[in-house]
Amino acid sequence: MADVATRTIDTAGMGADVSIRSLVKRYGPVTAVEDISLAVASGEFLSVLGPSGSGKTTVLMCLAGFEIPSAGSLHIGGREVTALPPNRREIGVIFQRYALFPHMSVRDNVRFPLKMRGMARRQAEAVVEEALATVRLSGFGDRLPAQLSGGQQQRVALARAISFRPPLLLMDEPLSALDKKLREEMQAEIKDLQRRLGLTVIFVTHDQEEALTMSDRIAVMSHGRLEQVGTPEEIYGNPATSFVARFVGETNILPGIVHRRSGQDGTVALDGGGEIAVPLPAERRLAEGSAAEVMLRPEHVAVMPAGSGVNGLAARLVGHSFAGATVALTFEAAGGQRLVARRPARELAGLAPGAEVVLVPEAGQARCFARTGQGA
Amino acid sequence: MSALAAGDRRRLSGPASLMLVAPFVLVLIAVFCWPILQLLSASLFDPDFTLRHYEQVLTSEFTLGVFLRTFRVSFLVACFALVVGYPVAALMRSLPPMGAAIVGACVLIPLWTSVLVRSFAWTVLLQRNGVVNEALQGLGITSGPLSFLYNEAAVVIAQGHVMLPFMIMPIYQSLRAIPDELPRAALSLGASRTAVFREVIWPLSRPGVVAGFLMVFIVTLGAFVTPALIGGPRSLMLATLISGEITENLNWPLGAALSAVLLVMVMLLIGLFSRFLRFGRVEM
Amino acid sequence: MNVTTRLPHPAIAAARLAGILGVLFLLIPTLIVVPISVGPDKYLHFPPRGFSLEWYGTLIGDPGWMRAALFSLQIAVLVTLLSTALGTAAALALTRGRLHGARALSVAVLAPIVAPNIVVAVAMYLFFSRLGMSGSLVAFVLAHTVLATPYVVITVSAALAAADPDLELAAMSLGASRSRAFVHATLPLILPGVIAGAVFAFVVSFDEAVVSFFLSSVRDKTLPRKIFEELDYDVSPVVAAVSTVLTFLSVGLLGLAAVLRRRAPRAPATKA
Repeated sequence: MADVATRTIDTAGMGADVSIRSLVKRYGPVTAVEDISLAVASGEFLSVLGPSGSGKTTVLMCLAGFEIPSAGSLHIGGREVTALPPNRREIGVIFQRYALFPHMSVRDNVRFPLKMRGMARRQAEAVVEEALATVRLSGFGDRLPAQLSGGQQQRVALARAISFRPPLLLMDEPLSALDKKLREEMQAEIKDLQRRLGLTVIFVTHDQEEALTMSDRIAVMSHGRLEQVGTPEEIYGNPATSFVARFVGETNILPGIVHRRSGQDGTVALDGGGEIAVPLPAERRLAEGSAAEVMLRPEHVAVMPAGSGVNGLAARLVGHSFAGATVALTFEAAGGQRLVARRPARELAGLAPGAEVVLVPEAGQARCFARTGQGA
Repeated sequence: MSALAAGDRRRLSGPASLMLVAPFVLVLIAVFCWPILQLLSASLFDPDFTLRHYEQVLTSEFTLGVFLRTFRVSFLVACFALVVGYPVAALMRSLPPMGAAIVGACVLIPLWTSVLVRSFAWTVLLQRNGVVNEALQGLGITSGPLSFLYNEAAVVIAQGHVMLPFMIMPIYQSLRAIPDELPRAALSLGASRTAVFREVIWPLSRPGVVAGFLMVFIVTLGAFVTPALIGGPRSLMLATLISGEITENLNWPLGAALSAVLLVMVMLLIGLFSRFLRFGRVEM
Repeated sequence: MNVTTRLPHPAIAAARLAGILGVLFLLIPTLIVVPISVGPDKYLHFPPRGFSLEWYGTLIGDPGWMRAALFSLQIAVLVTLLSTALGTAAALALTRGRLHGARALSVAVLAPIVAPNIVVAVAMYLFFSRLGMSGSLVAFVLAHTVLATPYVVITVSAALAAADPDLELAAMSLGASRSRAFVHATLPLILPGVIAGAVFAFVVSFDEAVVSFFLSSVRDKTLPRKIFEELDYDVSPVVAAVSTVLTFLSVGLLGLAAVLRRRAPRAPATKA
């Protein structure tokens, strides 16, 4: 019993580092995860972001030990856990639908992991109260899960998962069942808890906004592969692939042909007419004349009156939608190409549908990718 | 009761509903309720009002012994069905849909097979020149035929077999209602496989266990065919005793009194445990 | 390099084995009866030492067995018709009607299958004996109808509960009369349930052993009563042949009913 107590103190504030090495998971002929390698630092908050079926949950289930990898290895806190049964991994797992034991009170739910570790009842009671206080649910111990709201249930699940002080917390779309306002509250709460306890968190989500707000780093997955790993700023501002650019944030997609390339810069001739200057880093192997897609975030499109003599794409305003501080303006350019610009709301003044304008991409913000089949 | 509001056009009118339900209710009154009342009166009038036959039922050491045995056998049958049935329900729950459907069919086939056919099969298996005896002798384990038939153990096995679907189905239903995340959550929280069963699966499947156990127990109290064919005179059960009083001893009043006691016992049990029971759901 | 296939936990392996043994136990009678019925021996041997349809021949050639089978069939057909009509009507009234005490009534309707068989059988025996009707076709049909109708009520009620009552309202709003709305909007949806109920009723009557045991006379007996007598007297392979036929009939019919109920048309899923 004593060593349980000392261990909880030892690991408090010490998140474990995680290393996923060449992970492969196949279900019969279907490959769910294809050769993923990823290192997560101690105390880091990493989101695994991807659409459903991208393999993100499978990665989490392998880490938790509910699925056995087909190849590769997993290491947590320097210890290999690839084939270790889930009950010996010391990982807190938060499930999409909370997975509270419906026949146990809140207190017994939170006490469960301590009971499984043989902690004496009185000592466990103290830990349970502390964990409930951490999630601001003191006094709810005697209720049954069914008597709590969704957000409260989620907090009980959190209290239960941290009560035994695991160095790693895995969360599988934990907030998807909550409404928007509650979700934002919980995001802040989880983030705060992670910082206070120094936990390493791997957080699976399909919600790009959630990933951008909460994460230290984001790993974007698609079709069982890693598309990009980076800070939210990198993922948003400098997407590595056209998939990442499309999946994270709003974006305009302009098909064209690489017209000219010199050093790190180039221009793309758009299919609908007009040209656009793009940075072309060396790793983008886009030769002159190859089919390309230019991605432009709506907030990087400036709107100028027609005939102001500025170089840009001639377009006509076809609609707008007001979103408080900003307004999304939809334009139609030559060749029927649609573009959205997001501008401060005051800029709408004097623009009526049908107005002729010139759209000017902000210098250096357009991104260019090779055109693949999926964009068609 | 708002669904009964007079303006609800989705409902049939009062007179129409009455006309639809009346024919069966009349048949029920004439061929079910009236005969049972007649039976009760046969136990109380001989020819004048008397409690003599009830006195005989409740004081005769012989009939009390039969009652006791009926309760004991019913309890053992329920235990047997639980021990055999729970793993089957768990297996069904753990299999993918196709496998679960196959096991489900294996559970339902005996339910749909005549009780007589099943008693016949057990007779063939357990009789002196039956399959089990032949096998034991063939393997040199026993030298002569043993008597497996006509005792309580045989009744427990055969009646347990008859009742198994009534045990498996409610347990399976309550196991199916447990989402996969719960055992997974328990594992992630450090529970061993046995602890997952003890702390999560078993408590959550208990409603099904209770329903199945009560159902098997109650139905077996009045079971006739299997105990009559598989059980011997030394393992006489209530239904067989009633049948004997009526068809062999022609002692209608005593048979009627025994029937009345059985009926009241069963009704009491059903009334007491009605919230756990799920009659009429097994075939689903 | 270091991928291990985790073997199932011993406790899980043991539980699975117990489950498989349980399934085998469930199948024992079927696995015994069928081979015996096609074996050539007068005495029962397992496994059979050859293949023969001799016992089926004996069965068909025996007027006693044939009489009992025909009598049971006659009863079962009449019971099916009667209890399907009574049960469907009752189910409609109980699920879609306006009745005082509908809840109590739907419990009362189940009484015949909840009450101990032996008590029901003895009561009916007394009732029909006093009327001098014991052993008559009418007595059997009435008795079995009481026992079979609850199953029809259960299956049809379930089908009705799954059919959206608003469909009838929609049909009426489109100009259909109440009865036409029922025939066109509700009946097609519950028809599989009604047919399944009819199949249950047929099997309940055809397999019914306890009431038949008491109501049968020396001359007029049902198939189950005949098997009962044979079993009490001698275990002959002819019984195995009857049992096989009976098993295949019941399992086939009820399998059909199960398929029908699965195939019942359902309302398109609406997103919550």
